Amino acid sequence: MQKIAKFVLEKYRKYSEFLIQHAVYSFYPQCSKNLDYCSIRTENSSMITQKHIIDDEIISFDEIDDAETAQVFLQEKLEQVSNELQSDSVDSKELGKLGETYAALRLMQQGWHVIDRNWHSRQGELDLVMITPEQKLVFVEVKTRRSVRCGTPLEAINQDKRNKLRKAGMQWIEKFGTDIPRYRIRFDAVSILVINKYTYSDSACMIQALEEIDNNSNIQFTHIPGAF
Amino acid sequence: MSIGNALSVGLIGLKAFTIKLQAFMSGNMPNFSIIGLPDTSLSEARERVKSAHHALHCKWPEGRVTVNLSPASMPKSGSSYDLAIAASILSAEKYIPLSELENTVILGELNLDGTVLPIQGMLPIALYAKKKHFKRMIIPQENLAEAQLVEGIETIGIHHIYDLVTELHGTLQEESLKLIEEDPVYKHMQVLERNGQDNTNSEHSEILEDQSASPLQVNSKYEIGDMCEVIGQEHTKWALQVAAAGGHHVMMIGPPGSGKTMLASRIPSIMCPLNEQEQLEVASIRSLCGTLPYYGISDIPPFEAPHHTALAASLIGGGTGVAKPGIITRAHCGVLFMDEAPEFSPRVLQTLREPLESGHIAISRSKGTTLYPAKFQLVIAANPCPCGYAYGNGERCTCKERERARYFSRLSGPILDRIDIQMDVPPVERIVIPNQNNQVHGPNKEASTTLTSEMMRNNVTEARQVARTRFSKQGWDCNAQASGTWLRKYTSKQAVGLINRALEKHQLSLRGADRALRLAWTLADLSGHSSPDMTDMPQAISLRTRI
Repeated sequence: MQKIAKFVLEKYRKYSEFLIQHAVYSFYPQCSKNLDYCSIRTENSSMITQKHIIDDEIISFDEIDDAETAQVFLQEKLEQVSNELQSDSVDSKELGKLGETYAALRLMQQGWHVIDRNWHSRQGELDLVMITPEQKLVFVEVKTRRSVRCGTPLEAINQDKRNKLRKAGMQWIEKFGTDIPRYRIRFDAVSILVINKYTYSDSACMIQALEEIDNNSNIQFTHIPGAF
Repeated sequence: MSIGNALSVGLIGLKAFTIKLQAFMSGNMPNFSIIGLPDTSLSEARERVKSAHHALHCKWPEGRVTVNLSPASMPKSGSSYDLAIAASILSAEKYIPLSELENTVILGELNLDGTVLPIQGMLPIALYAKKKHFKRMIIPQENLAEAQLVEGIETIGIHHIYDLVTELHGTLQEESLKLIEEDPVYKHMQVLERNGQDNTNSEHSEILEDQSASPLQVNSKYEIGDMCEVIGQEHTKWALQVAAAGGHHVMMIGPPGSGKTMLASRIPSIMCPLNEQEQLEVASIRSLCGTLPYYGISDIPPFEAPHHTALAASLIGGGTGVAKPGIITRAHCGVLFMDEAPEFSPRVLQTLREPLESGHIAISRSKGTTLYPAKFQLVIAANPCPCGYAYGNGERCTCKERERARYFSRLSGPILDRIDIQMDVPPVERIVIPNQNNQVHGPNKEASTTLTSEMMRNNVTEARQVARTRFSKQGWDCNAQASGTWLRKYTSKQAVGLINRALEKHQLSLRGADRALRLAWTLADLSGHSSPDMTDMPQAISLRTRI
């Protein structure tokens, strides 16, 4: 098991292909060995995977040994990102990027793994490709907004956009995991609304929206499983 | 994931049915759908409700909102469910307690700024709500007067969607409340409401009410002329009085300018006033057509005069989906006057046959069959020929014989068969200048010369009463409904003998003889005879001049 984990780790640096293999392995419950590895991954290997996903793109950290420290670490990172999100100086491109990171961290806290980020094809871009604890491959579309002047973030994911994302997702699967059974593939939507005084034109709505957020930040995080 | 409920009442034709609304909210992609066979105008309620919800300064629920209108198989249309849809959503959001919505019918159209607009067909809906023992109704303020005609149900009129929340003891956030209070639209509504209350409270309220506040009870004086305004034509007036007393259909044939239209338009003023049941029926139809605020509840029978280019659909009712009432339904309990009847297309005239017989009309369209009442008195006016001058010796007439024949052939057959009184209206020979005696209103002197509508109406009412008591066992209302067998059985032998003689001389056709007998009974009622005697019979025959 340790061996496999190491293998994954090494291969992952070269990006993608084998990582997908890892994902695909975990899809097959009959491969009990691999499944075992996946189910206990919260402790070691998965965190390693996570580490490197984050390592490459956002975070640099040295050692994560167990799940608890991982959670603590994620929490710290989350706070940092959310602070950055709330600053006014962020431009819209950065906002999108930060929003994606924020979404990834929030989902990781629930035991998800990032497999791929910002994968481009001609059809469109996949924001996040993740694996859930239930061994599902999920394409996550993250939409970040600071104002609802042009509609809520989720409203921006219209039918056109959905069609494009589905096509892009299918291409990703064709490329990296043709043997993934279709019932294990899902498309999720995540809406991130950074609430400031310009978000709603109506102050009553703002208060209402802020009340609905459980952790006392100004970021409304809505995750819709199987959105389209 | 929450469910909200509301109740409303829908109409198909004049038939009302309960609609249960349920709103379902779930965390999903944002979407708002209304299901339960809505038509386009009902689907557009989504935008109205969404915008009106915003007028409450509450956040529109994120995620999926589905509103179902059950029974889902019944086609629904119109904007009268807007308020109920909003109420169901508000209750799903827990702004309105669910218990408050039980047994409460909510009706009204919403505008984008949250104001509540009046709907059509309030009266039949209120009648239905009372029959079904609903506790209360929340309706647009403008419909309040109409709904309050129905007693025994609590009616609440509202101006603004926020009134709905307060009436149902709903709770909004403090910030929202503050903003609503500042809302210019809502402020304006409150001013309106206060004015309305002031009017009813202040001393001179009655005057104000007469003028504007409650148009329903008072405004019964929409213009109907008086019979005494028609110069001459005493014979025709008398004939119309007979028609009104017996409920007979009338055909008037006369040259242009002889006063047929004038006379016909005054028939409602001499007809027996509508009883309560009839008034409600007429008002319900008007409510459905949206003309009730103009006419108000009145005991004057309606009068409808379609133009001769009218199509079948406009006459009997029609339209896509569910049929809307036509002119014959609006003439229910009143007069349908068809001027220049031979100019109507024959197909249109033929559509009148069934309603003339049955007193109602069933119209089937793609989304269902609607049954409308259509118990009207038909009055037909026609010229003697296309040019109009074939009366007397006919020397002014320029029509060819064939044209003349074709002109009347359109009217022949089944329609004429149902018209009891068929008479000529002669041209007026001279303009009678009302002399001094007539201008000074001396009822005693006038009575002998000119009949006023009121006098004729009294005669008619008495005669109707006699007929009604006579036919109380059979359940007929007037002589026109009586069966021929009954009439022949109870008419005296002498009177029948007179008719037989007229038949022998070919003054009457067989059909005409039957009709004359019927008319004789009405004449007997008018003159106070218990059954037609030797004086009534010739008069009856004289009302069938056109065989």
